[in-house]
Amino acid sequence: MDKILRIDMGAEGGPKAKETGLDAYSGLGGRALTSSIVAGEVPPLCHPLGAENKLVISPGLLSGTGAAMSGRISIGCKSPLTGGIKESNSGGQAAQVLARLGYAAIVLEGKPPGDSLYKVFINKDGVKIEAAASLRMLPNYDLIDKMKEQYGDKIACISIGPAGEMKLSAASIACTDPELRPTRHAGRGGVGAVMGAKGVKVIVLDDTGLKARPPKDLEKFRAANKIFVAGLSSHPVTGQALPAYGTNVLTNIVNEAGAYPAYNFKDGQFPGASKISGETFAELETQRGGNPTHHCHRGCVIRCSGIFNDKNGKFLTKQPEYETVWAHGAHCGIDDPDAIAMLDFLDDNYGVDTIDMGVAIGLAMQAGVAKFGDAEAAINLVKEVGKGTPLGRILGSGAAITGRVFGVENVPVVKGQALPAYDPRAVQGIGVTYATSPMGGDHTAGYSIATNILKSGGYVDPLKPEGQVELSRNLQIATAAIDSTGMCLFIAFAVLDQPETFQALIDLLNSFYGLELNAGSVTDLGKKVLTVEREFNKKAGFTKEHDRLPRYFYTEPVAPHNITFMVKDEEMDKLFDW
Amino acid sequence: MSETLAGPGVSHFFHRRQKTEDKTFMKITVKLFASLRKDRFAIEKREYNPGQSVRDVLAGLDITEGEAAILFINSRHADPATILNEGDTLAVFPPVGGG
Ligand code: SF4
Repeated sequence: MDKILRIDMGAEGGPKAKETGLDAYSGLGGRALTSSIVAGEVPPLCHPLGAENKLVISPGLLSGTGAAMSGRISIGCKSPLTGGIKESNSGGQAAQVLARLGYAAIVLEGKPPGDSLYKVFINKDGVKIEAAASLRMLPNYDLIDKMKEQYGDKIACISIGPAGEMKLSAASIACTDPELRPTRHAGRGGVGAVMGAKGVKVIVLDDTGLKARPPKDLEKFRAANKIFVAGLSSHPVTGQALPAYGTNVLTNIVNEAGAYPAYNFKDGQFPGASKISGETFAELETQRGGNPTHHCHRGCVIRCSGIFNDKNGKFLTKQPEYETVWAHGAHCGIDDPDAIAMLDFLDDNYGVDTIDMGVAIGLAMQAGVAKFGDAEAAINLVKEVGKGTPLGRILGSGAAITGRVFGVENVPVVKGQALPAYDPRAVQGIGVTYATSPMGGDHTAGYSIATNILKSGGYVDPLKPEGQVELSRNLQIATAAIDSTGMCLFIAFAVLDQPETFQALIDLLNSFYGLELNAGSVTDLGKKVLTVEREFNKKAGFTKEHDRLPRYFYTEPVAPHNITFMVKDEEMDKLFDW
Repeated sequence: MSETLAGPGVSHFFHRRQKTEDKTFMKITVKLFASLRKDRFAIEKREYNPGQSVRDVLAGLDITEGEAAILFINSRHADPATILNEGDTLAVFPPVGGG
């Protein structure tokens, strides 16, 4: 993983690939690398769909090694959704395969003339870029079937659906799972639109004949991995709850906490929550011959994902994630698991972010385009995206655009990106993360829910403003570092609680690279990443006034706690002072 | 899975027995989630003597305090020591996570 593959999509005579060393980027991976390249090479004032933007795809520092959980990939660019820097993170097989092929990053640069469409194939013998007009507007599942026919089933694919080709600002980039299904997505921020603007439909990766990356100190590496895996298996969240129920185990608890936004953030509880909870999904999956415990990439030992079969026992989609279930469920007043699973499939197939897509549909419902709770209407609205109708293009451009087009006042977005499944009034810590993250409205960037609601890594009262800025700061720093390792963020539940598991993570990095990092170096890396991202956003025109929630969260209380967002602006402005 | 008012188990017997000690019971809605539902129930309206705490309820259901990692009374975080009041809803979760 000591080289970068740069493909100039706008080169004279067709796209040209060249390999460079890591040079100034040496020692970086994942989010640290994507954000450094974007901040260092992309003019902050460029148009996100223009030739000056770059799409950077980077496995993490430990991807492609024998380390458990190391298969997360970072995809970065200037976001067409937020107008700021973006790192969108995905599971699937791509990170492991790309890392074994030796690439720390693929950078798509420039822009082809007209509407040319290409496919990129990379294996141990090199890189092939071919015109791919025949793949135009194929949904992800059909596309991957074609790639399987052509290249066999030992591949991993990174692709866009019709939404990406139409350059819709909620378009995602799909990564295939171990069964070669396009179920894992770098969903947020419209990264799919940037791939579409680069004219790349799919990147096919084949690591046949290549081995796992060798650590500097194999023995120490193996020992550290053993402790790491044991720590994940013994922790009740990573060893039991996540495997058994997946992320959607949160539906009941967040609803119980009065922080589960229903009907476009009107209420903090949804009457149909139990019908779409993780418990319900897990039971349905088991009954229908699916599986509530499945890995999104080989090497994941937590296995929070699952397989959702339809009523006839036929594969429909992967187990929808908590945020997906919320966005298409409670937010739209829908309590039918089968409808939600269908929406998840359609989102994956057309290639749109399930959060921005679901929130956009709820806003359309608020505006009277359909009724809250009408699952069939929701399904038809997502199908409009696939068809590329004007209505579909509006919805597929995400919540901010949809809210504006339909004249909705309460639009839950920060920096243009839809807020996910936690009401920032009832969980004040996540409000701080939504407001301040350089990524825009995002929960993973500083997952205060862990401490505010789940009592993981301590406890800070979710209903009070005190302590939330510090909590969000620490989590944002830790997350930026973890997102750079290729590790799945869910390791944090065990790492926050168990010092020996945290140490094992550091030992994995040290024994692999021959380094002497400690906890302090991890914090430093996180700070460095955030600083680079904030700098880019500043130059792109963001001020501290952009680090705020939409006004109504400060003025309209939400039941059952009848509370508004109370963290002071001046406090939030100090979040990045270090 | 479904939130039925499940039939009486050992725990039901336990609070029946207590009923004989005091005639004015508190009606408490107890909700259990995830793995805690196994061999128990999803939701039940149960009766307890006034002054009883979350800890008493857990003991009656044979749930250890380690298993009951997250507790809510009426949507607010509670502790095992919290005393229950008539009409309260107690929700009990094992350690869970996601995101
Ligand atoms: S825990 Fe879940 S999201 Fe994380 S790597 Fe495993 S399956 Fe993927």
